[in-house]
Amino acid sequence: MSHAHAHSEGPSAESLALNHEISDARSQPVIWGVVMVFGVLILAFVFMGGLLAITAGSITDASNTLSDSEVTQLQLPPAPRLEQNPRVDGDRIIAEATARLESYGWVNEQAERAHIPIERAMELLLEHGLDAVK
Amino acid sequence: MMHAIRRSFFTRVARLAWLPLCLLLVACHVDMYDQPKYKPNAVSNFFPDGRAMQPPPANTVPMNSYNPESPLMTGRIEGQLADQLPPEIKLDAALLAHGQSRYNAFCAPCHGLVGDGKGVIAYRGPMTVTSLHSDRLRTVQVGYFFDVITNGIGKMYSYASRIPPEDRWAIAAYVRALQLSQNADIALLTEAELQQVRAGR
Amino acid sequence: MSAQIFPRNANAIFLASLFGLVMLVIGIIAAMVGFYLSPWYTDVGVAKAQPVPFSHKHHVSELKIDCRYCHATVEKAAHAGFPATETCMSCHSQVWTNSPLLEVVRTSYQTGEPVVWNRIYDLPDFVYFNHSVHVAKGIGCSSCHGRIDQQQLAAKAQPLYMGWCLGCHRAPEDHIRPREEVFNMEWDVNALSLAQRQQLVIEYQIPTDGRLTNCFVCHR
Ligand code: HEC
Ligand code: HEC
Ligand code: HEC
Ligand code: HEC
Ligand code: HEC
Ligand code: HEC
Repeated sequence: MSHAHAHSEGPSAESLALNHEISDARSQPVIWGVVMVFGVLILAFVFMGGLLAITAGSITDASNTLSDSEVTQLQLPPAPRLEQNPRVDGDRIIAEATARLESYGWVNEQAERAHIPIERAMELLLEHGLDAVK
Repeated sequence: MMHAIRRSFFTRVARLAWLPLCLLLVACHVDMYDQPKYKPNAVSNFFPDGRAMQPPPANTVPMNSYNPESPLMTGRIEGQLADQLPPEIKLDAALLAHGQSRYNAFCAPCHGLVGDGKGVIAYRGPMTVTSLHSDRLRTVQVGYFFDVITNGIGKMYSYASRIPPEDRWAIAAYVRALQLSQNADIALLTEAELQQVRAGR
Repeated sequence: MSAQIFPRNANAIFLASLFGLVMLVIGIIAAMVGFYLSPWYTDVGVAKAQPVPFSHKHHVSELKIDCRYCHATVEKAAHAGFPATETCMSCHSQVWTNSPLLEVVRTSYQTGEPVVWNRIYDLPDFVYFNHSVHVAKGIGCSSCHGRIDQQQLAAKAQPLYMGWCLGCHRAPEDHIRPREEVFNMEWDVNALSLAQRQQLVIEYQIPTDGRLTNCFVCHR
């Protein structure tokens, strides 16, 4: 407080007479304080926004938190490990199989055998019993 | 006078000022979070193998869950593979739908949705998976599929621990439907369907 | 100068510190709430190291294996369970048979010593939870476990707070889907309109009279 004391003009004569300080609080420093807190807050938001905008895209898979020794272990096996586009192949195989299970067509025309949708096959099986296949 | 009353009121309130401090004590003890009881898949330091879920001793079965005489449990009638569903299982649309969902979950990764042995895993790995669409497997008893699921065959593991007997029968029945769908005698089909077969749609 | 005289700005300093004190208390409370909800406390999105770097992304999204192949009890029992070593070996006895990553699994299969997975979702022991009822009533895995098929190592998608459970028990129509789609990771709840979902709630006979929020449903 000594610092603040040195620079203030000291109590007015009136205050001294009354034995207490009668001047009003100066609201200016308070208002300035509030303005600055919010100003800094907004600046911080802008700064964070900028940071996020800059780093966006470069953050990809954060789910891997293996320890260092485990990561080296991961790199031990020789290079081309998994296929290039595993998802695509999986999707293709499922799509082809589903299409097959939903369509009609010949399996063996000579033997008069056809493939039919699985829903229909289930109906036929219920109609003719388990041995309809033989 | 007023003054005195006000003050004593405040002191009384002030005496209770420690109460909010109790809030700090909340959630400080966690003994009810980890109670001395076992939950499934928990680690145990009581049993020597470290499992809370102890596997049943060898050659035992849970009570009332197994009957060596029942085709439902064994897939066999008097020692021979059953050539029909056991009496407890009704062949109906619900059974086939159930079998389809089980087949797609447990068998399709290897055998493929169609059953041609070209599932995604078979495609990925150096694994030769038998196609279910061969004359041999079309003429075999249904009990055979039950038996393969229960005991495994060759390189295929047993699925008995994951698929209960009722579900195995549902899968067996569905495999039949699958076989029919890939090898239907056109005599069974309607004229309209024949058109579609010819058109290949 | 017998009177205790304050400098003129003492009032301002007093007001400012009063303001600061209030802000400090609010800030501390906000910080505590924030910490409580943040991944530091809840572990949401934080993957744990596992004895085998098992990837759901690979096995579910790319290899199209159904959840039930490994978590076989999820429809029938309270717990979904961790797969037995034998389950891994049903494929890995033939696929990637000499991968060093799978050494732990192979040893476990030979010796019978279980693989100890690090649990990710763990409710306090005073809460009762049951998978089978949720699965049977059309609540999909992804409603609670998020897109685990996109995660290499599994991480929490939910802090599992009571408010979250209650939120859905009050309004299941916001999360429900047809039973057949429970295991479908890509299903979007909004694929059905609210009216259709309300219809499902009625069809699956889910009580909407507040019974589901009774304390003893979960604390029994
Ligand atoms: C992990 C991959 C895999 C899964 C999953 C799988 N199988 Fe197999 N299955 C195989 C392999 C490999 C063979 C060939 C076994 C051999 O001959 O060594 C086979 C063979 C078969 C055979 C033919 C047996 C014979 O007589 O040749 C049948 C029937 C069969 N499986 C049914 C099923 C059913 C039903 C399911 C679902 C419950 C299923 N499989 C799940 C891999 C699998
Ligand atoms: C090939 C087997 C396999 C399949 C298929 C599989 N999981 Fe898992 N799952 C595991 C293993 C092993 C763990 C334990 C290791 C871990 O946490 O990653 C696990 C862990 C989990 C966990 C975290 C459990 C915990 O609290 O630690 C959840 C949740 C989960 N799986 C959900 C699913 C869902 C949903 C699906 C279907 C989309 C699925 N899993 C399919 C093998 C599998
Ligand atoms: C249905 C078959 C199947 C099951 C069951 C299965 N996996 Fe796999 N897993 C695969 C296939 C196929 C690959 C390799 C795919 C590829 O090369 O693209 C693989 C790859 C892996 C890899 C990577 C191997 C490497 O060296 O890069 C790990 C680790 C793995 N699996 C762990 C497990 C664990 C642990 C389990 C048991 C919870 C399990 N898997 C169950 C089919 C399966
Ligand atoms: C209503 C929310 C909810 C749904 C839906 C849900 N889970 Fe869970 N799951 C949980 C909670 C909560 C836990 C933690 C249980 C505990 O700690 O006892 C958990 C735990 C697990 C575990 C860890 C092992 C265990 O049994 O505790 C696995 C694996 C799992 N879930 C898989 C699944 C799969 C697969 C599905 C879809 C069929 C699914 N979950 C659907 C909430 C859910
Ligand atoms: C996404 C929605 C959803 C979430 C999240 C959810 N539940 Fe449920 N829960 C349901 C539905 C729907 C039912 C079925 C109610 C019925 O039909 O009886 C249910 C039923 C239950 C039941 C059985 C009630 C009974 O009396 O049969 C329990 C126990 C339960 N939930 C516990 C929990 C707990 C614990 C959590 C949080 C970890 C949770 N649930 C989170 C939707 C949800
Ligand atoms: C839908 C399930 C569900 C219902 C209904 C429910 N709770 Fe909970 N409750 C939970 C879960 C889950 C937790 C654990 C939250 C956590 O881990 O922080 C919990 C935690 C609590 C805790 C905190 C214990 C502690 O030490 O942290 C209290 C207290 C509690 N519940 C009281 C109640 C009361 C009272 C009711 C009835 C009005 C109620 N619960 C109904 C699921 C439920």
